[in-house]
Amino acid sequence: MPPRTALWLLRLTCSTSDWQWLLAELETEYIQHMLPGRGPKAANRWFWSQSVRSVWAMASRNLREGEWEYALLLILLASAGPSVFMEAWWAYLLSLVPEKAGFVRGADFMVLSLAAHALLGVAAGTLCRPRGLLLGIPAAWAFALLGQSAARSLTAPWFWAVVLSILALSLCAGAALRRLSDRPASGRFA
Amino acid sequence: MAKGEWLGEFEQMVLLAVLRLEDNAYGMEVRREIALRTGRDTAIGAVYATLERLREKGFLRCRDVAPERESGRQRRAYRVTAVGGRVLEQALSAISKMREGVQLRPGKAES
Repeated sequence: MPPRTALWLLRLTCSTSDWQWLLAELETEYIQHMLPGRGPKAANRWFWSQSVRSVWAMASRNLREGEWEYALLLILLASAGPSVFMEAWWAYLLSLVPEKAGFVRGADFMVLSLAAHALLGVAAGTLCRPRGLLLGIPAAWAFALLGQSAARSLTAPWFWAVVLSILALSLCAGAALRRLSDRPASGRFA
Repeated sequence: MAKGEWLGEFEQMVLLAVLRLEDNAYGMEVRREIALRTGRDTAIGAVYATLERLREKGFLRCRDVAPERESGRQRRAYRVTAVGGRVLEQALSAISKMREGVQLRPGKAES
């Protein structure tokens, strides 16, 4: 029997349709060649190595082939996640301070929050096709404003203008990165 | 060649392996063939993802094969389509045309 944890790891990154074929290949090789030829320990090592090395290929295939729900989920995370998280963090920090008067958030909070929006936005953009951005950007803005009201954050309007711009730009950058990576690499005949 | 018909280096290897293996072109066999001939030890996930991508582009077709043993699993065998063969031929011929007359190792005469 192949190692269960390795199977679980690989299953996490595969869609249901890919899983049955990939598992058939791995199991056949494991049972017919690896176990009889190398023994259980080496066969398990081989299975682990194949599973770990397949994670990236299968995860990227799964994300590329993924349904729009994955993109929307990541857009939600990119737009509302940082506001909610930063508010929760600030509330936690405030709870540690006995004298709260005069204790205000520094610029580092804003920079961290913007960086999180940008990074997650680029990641979400790589799941979007250019046409998907037409829906993705307004959705990101709506989620960001919802996140703002959910977090009850009292940040300046200019900060929100920056957040909305960063979200739009990072989504576009992610989609552009995806297009670039879809093109054949220069230097080799692709 | 249309944009979607360009083949990557690994895609070319996979198509060649499928052609070599004829009726026996399953994922693991393709992986083993590539390792045997090129020394490139690839993960089955990478091979499988490439096979499926080529199939989705119409360069390969597949058939689902019933397991040999009762406890075994159904496997997927691949064959190169006419379009796949043409695209591979064009890619390889373009490479050999580009290679013509080129000294691969500067300083040494091409053998």
